[in-house]
Amino acid sequence: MKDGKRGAYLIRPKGGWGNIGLLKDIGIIPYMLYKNHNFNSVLVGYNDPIPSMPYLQTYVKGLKIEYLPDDTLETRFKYIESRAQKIDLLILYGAGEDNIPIVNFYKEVRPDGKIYLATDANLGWMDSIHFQFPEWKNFLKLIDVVGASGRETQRFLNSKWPVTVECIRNGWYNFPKVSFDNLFEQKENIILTVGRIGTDQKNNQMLLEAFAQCCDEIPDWKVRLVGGIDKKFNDYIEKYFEKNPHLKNRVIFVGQIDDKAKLNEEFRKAKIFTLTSTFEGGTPNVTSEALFAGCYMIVTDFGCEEDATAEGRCGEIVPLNDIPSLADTFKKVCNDSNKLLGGGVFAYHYAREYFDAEKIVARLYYLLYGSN
Amino acid sequence: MENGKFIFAEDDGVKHFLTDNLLVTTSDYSAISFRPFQIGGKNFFLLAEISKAVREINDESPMAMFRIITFLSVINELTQKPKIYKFLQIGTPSKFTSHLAYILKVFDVRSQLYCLTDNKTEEEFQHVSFMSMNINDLNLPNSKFDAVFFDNVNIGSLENIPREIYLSLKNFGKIFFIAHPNSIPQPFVKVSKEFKVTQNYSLMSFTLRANLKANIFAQSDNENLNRKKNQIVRSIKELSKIIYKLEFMADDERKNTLDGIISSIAQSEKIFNEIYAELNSRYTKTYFNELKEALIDYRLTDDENFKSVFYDKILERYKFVLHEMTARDDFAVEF
Repeated sequence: MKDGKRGAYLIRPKGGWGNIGLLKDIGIIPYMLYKNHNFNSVLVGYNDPIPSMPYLQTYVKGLKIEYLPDDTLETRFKYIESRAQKIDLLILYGAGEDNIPIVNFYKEVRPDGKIYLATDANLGWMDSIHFQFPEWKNFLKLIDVVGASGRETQRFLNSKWPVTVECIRNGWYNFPKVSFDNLFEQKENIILTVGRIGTDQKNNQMLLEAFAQCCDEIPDWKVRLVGGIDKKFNDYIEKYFEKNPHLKNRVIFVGQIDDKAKLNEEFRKAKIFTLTSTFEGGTPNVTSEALFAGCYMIVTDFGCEEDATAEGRCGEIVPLNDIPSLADTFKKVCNDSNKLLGGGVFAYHYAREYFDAEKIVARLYYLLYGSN
Repeated sequence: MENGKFIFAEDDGVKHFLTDNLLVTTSDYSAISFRPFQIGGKNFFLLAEISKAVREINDESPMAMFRIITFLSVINELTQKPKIYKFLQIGTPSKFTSHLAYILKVFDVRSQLYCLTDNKTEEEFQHVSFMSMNINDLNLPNSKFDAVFFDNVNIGSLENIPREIYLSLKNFGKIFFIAHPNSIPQPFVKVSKEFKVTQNYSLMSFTLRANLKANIFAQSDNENLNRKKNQIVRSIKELSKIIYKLEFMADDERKNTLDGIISSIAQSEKIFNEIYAELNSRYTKTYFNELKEALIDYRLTDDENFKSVFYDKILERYKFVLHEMTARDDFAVEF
C-alpha cells in the first residue's frame, strides 16, 4: 500500500487490452475499485501495436494501463516481482491454466496479497476443468474470492468445486450519464439485439428467421441489430432480404455504435431485448444494460438465462435454435402490452438491485477486505 | 560385573545389566528384557550417560518406569539407525525430556527435541526447543518428526489428538505413549507394539505405516466430520437468535452485528468446503453462500427501499438453509 492506497492489478496471462473492454467488467471492476475504494488500479498486458484507448480519457479516467515489452510468462514474473509491494490485489480473468503459474508466483512474492479470480466462462468449459488435480486444487485454494458472473454458473461451480464461488455479476455503470426519466414513455415497438452480429456465438439468424415467421402478426414491430457485422454473415443477410424483401424496412442493421450515450438510447427505445446466443461467459454485459433500460428480455438458454430474466419475472426463455418457439414468444409478448410494461418495470428495478456495478464491486470489496 | 554381566546402573534394588547384545534391568518386580541393544562404536561415556539418565529419571513412580522404558527403547532405535532425528514431546518437560534431548545430541548434534507444553517451568532444559502453541490450534510443519511422545498427557479419546500431529510425523514415524495403558485411547492400544516389561508396565508405541495412517484418518475423519457439522449447525442456530432482531437495531449496531454474522458465516463456509466431499446435499453450500450474499447486500446498502428487499431475502435464504440442513441426512442428527 502506497500513499494510503491499495494497488489492484489486473494481469493478463497472454495478450493485452482493447478499448471496448474498458467498459466491460475487466475495466469496470478496477475502475470502481479506483473510484470508490481508494485503489490505484492498473491493467497489465502486452499489445503490439499499442491500440488507441480513448475511453481511458473519457469514461474510465484514472485507470492505468501498463504495457509489457513482450508476451512471455517470464516478463510477467519480472513485472510482478518488481511491483510486488504495490500489488495488494491481483485480479485475474478466466480459470485457465495460464493463470496458475501467475498465482503461484504472486503468492511467493506477496504471501499476504489478495487474489480475485473472475472465472468468466460458460458451464461447458468449466465442466471440462479437472479441478480434482492437485495443481488445480492448490490454485483454487490460493484465491481469496472466486467469482462467477451468473447465478447458474455459480451454483454449478459451487456444487462441483471444493471452494466457495461467489456470484459477481457483470454489472453496468452509467458512464454516459444518461437520464432514465420518462423511460417507458420513450419506448417503441422495437426488438433489439446488441453484440458482434453474425458470429456463430451470437446466433443472430435464429432471431431473423423467427421474426420472418411472425412478422405478419406483429406488423408494427421492428428488429434492430446493433454491432459490427461479421464478414461471413453478409451472404446470409443478402439471401435473407432476397427471401423476405418486405422486411427490409423492419430489420435494421444499425452497425457499431461507439458513443455510449447513443448506444444506450437504443436500449431505452427498445421494448424488447433479445439474445439468441449459443453460449455466453456468464451474464453478458449487454443484458445488464438492457435490464437497466427496462427492456423485456427474450433469451435462449445460453447458460445464465435465469439471471437475465429474473427467473422469468421480466422475460422469457426459449430453447436454443427453436425458431418456432421464439416466433411464438414474439407473437405472445409483443401483443401483450401489460406483460411488456410490467416486465420492463420489474427489469428496471431488478437491474438497480443486482446489476449496479458500484454495488457489485462494493460487495466484492467487502468479500476481500470486510468492513476495513 | 555380576554373573558375567556388566552392571551399568544400580538404584535401591533396581539393577540394570548390559550383556553383549541385551539390556536387562531387574527390579523388585521382575526382569525387563528388550530387543537386542547395541551400543556399537559408542563408548563408556554414552553408557555412563544412559546410566545417569536412568538413575535420574527413575523416581520409583509408575510414570518414571514408563519413561525409562521409552528412553531405553529410543536409544535402541538411535543405535540401530543412526541419522538426524527430530522428536516432539507433548506434555510437561521432565528429566526424561532433558536426558533424551542430550542423548540425541550425542548421536548427532543436528538432531533436536522439541517440546510442546502449556506448563511453563522455571527449570532450564538445555538442548530442548520449546514451542509455544495451543494444542487445539497447532501449526506444525508436515512430515518433520521421527517420533512424538505424549508424556503423561491424558489423551482421553482419539478425537483429542489433533490431525496435525499425524501430519507432522514422517512416514514410519512413531508415537510413544508414556502413560498407563488404561489412559491410552483404545484404537491405539490395539495397534500399538507392546513391550511387556512387567505385569504393570509396557511400552506403548506404534509406527505410523500407510495402512495404519489410513485407518486412523478414517476414524479421525468421522469424528472430525461430526465436529465440523456441529460447528456449522451451531453457527446457524446462533444466527436464528440474531436475525430477527436486526431490523430493530440502530444503524451502527446493526452494521457491527452484521459484520460479526458475515464473518461467522464465512468461517462456516470454509468448514463446509473442508467436508464438502463427505456431504450428500449439494444445495446447502449454495444456500449458505446466498444467505451470506444477502447479508452482505443488506450490510452495504443505505437505500431504505433495498434494505427491506435484502432483509426479506435474508429470511428467505435462511429458511432455505434450515430446510436443506434439516431435510438431508447430513445435518439432521446435529439438529
